[in-house]
Amino acid sequence: MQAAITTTRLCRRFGGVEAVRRVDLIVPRGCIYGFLGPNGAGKTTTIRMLTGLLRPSAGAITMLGRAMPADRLAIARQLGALVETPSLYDHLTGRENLDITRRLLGLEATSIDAALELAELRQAGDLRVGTYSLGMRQRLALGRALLGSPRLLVLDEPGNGLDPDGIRDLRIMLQRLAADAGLTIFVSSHQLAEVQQMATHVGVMARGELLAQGRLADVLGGGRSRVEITTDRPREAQALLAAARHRVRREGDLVIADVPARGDAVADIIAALTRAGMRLSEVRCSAPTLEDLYLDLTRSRDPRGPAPALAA
Amino acid sequence: MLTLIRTEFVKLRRSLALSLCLAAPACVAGFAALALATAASDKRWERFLDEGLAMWSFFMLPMTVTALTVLLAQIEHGPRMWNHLLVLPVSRARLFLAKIAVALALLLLLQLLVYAGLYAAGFAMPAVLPDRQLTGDPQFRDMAVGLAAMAVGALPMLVLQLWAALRFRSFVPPLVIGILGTFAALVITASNASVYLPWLLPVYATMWPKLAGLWGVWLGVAGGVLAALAMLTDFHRREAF
Repeated sequence: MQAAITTTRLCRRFGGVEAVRRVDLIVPRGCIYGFLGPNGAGKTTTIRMLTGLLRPSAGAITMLGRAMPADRLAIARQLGALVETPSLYDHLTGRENLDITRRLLGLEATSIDAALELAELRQAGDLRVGTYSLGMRQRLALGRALLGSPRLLVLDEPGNGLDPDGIRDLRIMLQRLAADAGLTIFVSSHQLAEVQQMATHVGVMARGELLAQGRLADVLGGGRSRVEITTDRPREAQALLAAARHRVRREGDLVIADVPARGDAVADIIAALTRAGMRLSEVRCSAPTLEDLYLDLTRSRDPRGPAPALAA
Repeated sequence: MLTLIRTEFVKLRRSLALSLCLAAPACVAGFAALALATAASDKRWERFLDEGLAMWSFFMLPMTVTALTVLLAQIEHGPRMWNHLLVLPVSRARLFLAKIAVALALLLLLQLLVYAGLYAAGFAMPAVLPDRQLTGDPQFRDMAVGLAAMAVGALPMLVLQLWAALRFRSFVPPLVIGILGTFAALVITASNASVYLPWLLPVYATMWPKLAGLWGVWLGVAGGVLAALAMLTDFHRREAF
């Protein structure tokens, strides 16, 4: 299937500073792509290039089968975007704000009511935006980005300023849009737990480079679980599990194994160790989280050290 | 293009820019009325209107255009609207051309309100101060032609001020340019070079159909078009706002 977004060796320099370095994004159609990275990683610069606000210093961008920025207008007709803070006219009402974009997109006036409904702002539509809370502003900006039924939604930190309920509602709304309307959603965020629940694909950036990307399950270890075993004979346990072709290492008395995340894999390990006469005082099993991966990648990516091996 | 201009007018609702368009001509009419009320003797309409036009063209119009263009630009700069507008499927040239069109429409509104304000002040004065009567021909037509010519002469100044106001997120650079231009115009009025100063062209244009007036109007048209092309070219190349 053709990707919604691909970039090839995308670079952007500001003076002598290389903010984005040889980034090769692949965002499949219909996916929710979580774009992660610490502040200053180059996420917003990448998003500004994807939306045509900045020109790449080098490299190529293809969005929905067209080249950006050469075909910017054609791409923009199928693109909804929310870049950085929600940009809204404070002196106008929510309805008037939507009306401006609605006119520029050449849509019917009825689309305003639909957008207000989607943003759950029907009651507040005739109030000045200056009186809105941050959550209401985010929702209005998101409703506006969805005017014209875009095929691709690019969102830069849409959860910023939202309370936990608002963040959950946003997640549910984006999942529904991707599932029902087949929308491709490219969303940058710092809320790792939310992204893990919402995204089908992720990309992690740090210091201008894309460190890992792919399907969430693959990036998180290809559907493997981490088993921590506390035993009286850790050396023998490590040797036994290594002989059984498990990925295993030892930290003091703790034996840590990566095993396939199927129901009987852990049971097999426990049975093998107890058959060998070992006493197991504790067995803990956990799936790797996006936070583990994020911290592992962004902290270990030191120019003095080697890059970690990735399942990307 | 009409749609874009209409959306620009939607943005003006409840904005300070519209309030300024009412306040500035009211000030000119008020000052002209004050001058008439404190004059030693009766005045002729011609002199009353000339004083009003001079006050407007030399000082109030350049300062009003400076403030107006800053307010128009701040509607977009303030909430960082460029991040939204420049992502939409609208060409930059059309987006900024609409800005010029709206600034021009507001300039024409200002001229119309100055016209109405000066006559309202002149005709209302005897009702307030019966001994202050304007004599002679009210010169409706000449005044209309003078204000229209002034608007044409103001085109380069309008576009240059709008360009500066849109180019800088801060309102300080366009304000400094406007103040310097206005005072430079006052200082070099007697110089031969003054006819090339955009902030002084509206004054020359009011002399239409004399030679200086013709010069002011034609230079206004040519300068306005050139400034608009330069602005659009600059904004086409420019990335961040």
